[in-house]
Amino acid sequence: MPLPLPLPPLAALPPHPEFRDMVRYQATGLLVVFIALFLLWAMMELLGAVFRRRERTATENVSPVASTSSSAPAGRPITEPEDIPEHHLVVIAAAVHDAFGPRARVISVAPHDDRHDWAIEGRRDIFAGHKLRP
Amino acid sequence: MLQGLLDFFQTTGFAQLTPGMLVMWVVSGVLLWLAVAKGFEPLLLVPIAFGALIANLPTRGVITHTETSSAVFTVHADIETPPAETVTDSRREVRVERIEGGLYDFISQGVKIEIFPPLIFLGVGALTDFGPLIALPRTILLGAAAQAGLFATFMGASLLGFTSRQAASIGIIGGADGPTAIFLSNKLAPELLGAIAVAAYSYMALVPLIQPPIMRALTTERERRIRMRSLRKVSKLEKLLFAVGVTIVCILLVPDASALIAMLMLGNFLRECGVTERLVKSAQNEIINTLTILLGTSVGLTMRAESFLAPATLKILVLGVVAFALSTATGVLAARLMNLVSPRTPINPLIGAAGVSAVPMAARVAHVEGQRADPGNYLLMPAMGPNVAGVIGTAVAAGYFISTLGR
Repeated sequence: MPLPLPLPPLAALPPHPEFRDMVRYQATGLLVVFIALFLLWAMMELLGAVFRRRERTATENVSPVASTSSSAPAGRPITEPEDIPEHHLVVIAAAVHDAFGPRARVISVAPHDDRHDWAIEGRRDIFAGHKLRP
Repeated sequence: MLQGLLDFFQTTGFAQLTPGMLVMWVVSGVLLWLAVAKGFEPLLLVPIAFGALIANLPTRGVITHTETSSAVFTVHADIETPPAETVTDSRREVRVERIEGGLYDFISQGVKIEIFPPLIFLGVGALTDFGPLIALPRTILLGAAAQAGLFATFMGASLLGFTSRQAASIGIIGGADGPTAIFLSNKLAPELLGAIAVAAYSYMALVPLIQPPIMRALTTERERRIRMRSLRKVSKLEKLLFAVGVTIVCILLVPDASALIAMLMLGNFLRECGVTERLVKSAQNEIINTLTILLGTSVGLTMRAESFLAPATLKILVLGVVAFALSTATGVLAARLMNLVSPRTPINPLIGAAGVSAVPMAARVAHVEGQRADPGNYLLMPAMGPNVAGVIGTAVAAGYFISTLGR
């Protein structure tokens, strides 16, 4: 059975503390939150570095994918997986241009991942309850 | 015959109505109007408001409100004294007798013994995409900075006469996280649970009204126009490792937040692993929807006139908006500070306001404000990073309060 953790002496607080004790308590609490999230930041940076290196190694071993330019005036190239036909890209670019105007930019195009359709539907349903008020 | 009618009238609920109950009917009506007509967090406010209405009716078989009875179970135990060494056979008789209790005497145990909020966090984790946070890790500090509002509000509540435990429960409203607010206040200040829940969910719906003026006041036009780089694609393995890592780190640091963090990350792991679709579907829909109804009504049933119509409620409502405002401000200021430290890779300070845990509304508010300054600026995904970090930060803050005040 795990041992009970001791109460940190700096953090304990009476029901109606003095102002100085309150300030110390708040500072300790905020520090605890920052330490926790800082550790998570360090973990994510480490993971990110490892995975970015893996991606770089993987792309160096793969022949470059042909890219086409967007119909939008911003002219950013679209990176396409090999299994997206070119006429699909044309239709997508035209739809984006029509829906969002000439300033829209197509950043990337990727095949639809349908593994999470139920998840997406659930999210849509839940978030529909959070009405964004103007 | 008349006497018979009068005797019968005494058994009806009419004879037990009080003026306080009638006032609470009006309060329930206002909450229902806000939820249904104005769209104020209807998923929670409708059950809470309806529960408040039921709490202020002379019901029978719903909930018990006596000082001496918990209306759950009585255990009769006949335990023999330890036998002498030579006697090997000893018996203990335990008889469990069910006391007649109301429907919500049993259902509300889910709140009292801290089951509902963590299970709702299971659904929250299954709905949350931590990809934007993983792609831009430093924005997690904005989620931490936004928690400063909690601690500042704690001080304000203490100065207004609340005890430390009550002040912590009030301060957590600034985290804009309903389940965490209920989890914490049930542990530290159950007498304020109803008011705190109403404040937390009402202000979550008011995020688009409360935050923008503060965001505009604390940023310049130039800062609001800052465009952020597109986020890199985050792999599935990275997200899975993130879920496991958060669980280990947060529970080791703040064990009292275990229930919330573990369920949040379990839900997220189920979502990201891709091989548990049925479980994810249930967590995102049936589980969270069912528990939302039961939690909301259980919380609403604590809003009895005697406890809700008190000066403390008004103080809580005022302190709640202060907590929200301070959390927004500290998040924005932290983002500006980060830009001073690393000016080469600036972040738009508007996303600092998304450090409150109102997912995804706070991120959408940051996005809308960014588009007001620059219509071509898309801040939604970068803002989701601090937004979901705020969920973790609020849970850690709650764990800190529980570990230091909960004993």
